Amino acid sequence: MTPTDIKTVDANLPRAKAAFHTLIPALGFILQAWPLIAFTGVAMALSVLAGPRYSLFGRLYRQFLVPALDIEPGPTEALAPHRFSEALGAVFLLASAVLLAGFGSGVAAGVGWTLSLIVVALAAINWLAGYCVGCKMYGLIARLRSSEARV
Amino acid sequence: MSGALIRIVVVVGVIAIAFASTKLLKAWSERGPLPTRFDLADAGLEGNRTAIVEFSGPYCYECKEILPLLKAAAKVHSSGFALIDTHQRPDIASKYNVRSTPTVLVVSGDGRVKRVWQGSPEEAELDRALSPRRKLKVA
Repeated sequence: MTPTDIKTVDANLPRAKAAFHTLIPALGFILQAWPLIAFTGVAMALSVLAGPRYSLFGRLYRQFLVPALDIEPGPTEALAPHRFSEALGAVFLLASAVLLAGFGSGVAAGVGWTLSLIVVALAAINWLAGYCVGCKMYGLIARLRSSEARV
Repeated sequence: MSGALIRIVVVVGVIAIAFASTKLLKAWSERGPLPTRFDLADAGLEGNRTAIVEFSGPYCYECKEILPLLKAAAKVHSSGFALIDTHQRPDIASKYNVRSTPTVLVVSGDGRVKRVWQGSPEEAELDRALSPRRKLKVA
């Protein structure tokens, strides 16, 4: 695959979405409201499965935040690593929501909140520091797969 | 209410720990000395002339953006040029401690690394590294 074959995304968009992925689950944890976790997980899963057009947080960013704050387009980045990262977040949040909805308290609920807090922490790093851990994992997996393919 | 306060502290603490871990991870991933020698054969280059070597990756747009500059510089200075994809050749990337893309080397004909950039080189810096006497003009 050459760089010209790759779908791209405005680098500001994943960071803006990461803000939503941080704040809503964090609020869910503070208020102990698992529906907020489920809502974020479903929105992320929809964005990954149906495409960026159906990304709720992406639309909020493009249609409201960009004109309101007059945000200039940023540099372009490959879409695939961010999509992988979002898929990982969606899996964690949906698993968390299932555990929290199924078991209101106990060890399972503890695991559920831990999964949510992992997403909160990683999304916060992406939002505030611009460091996408999921994208790094995607790069590592791509490297491993390319080196395996050559053996 | 106190429960909510505790949870706010937990959220802030988790984010702070994640930040500290990221800093450590970045420092760890950028460890190791920069290369001082480069075997031109690793880049498929032969001969005794100076060469520009760019370490690139399929998702690195900066790498693609600086390609015309690097190629023009190599042409003007009659130097060799090689592009190494770190995903295709992770063995070469790890051999020379390349941790980020783009990484650009200017290597003399005897294999001595004259200059390393972890990021994009400036046109004038590249010009100086290749030949202190000649000015590079890129159309």
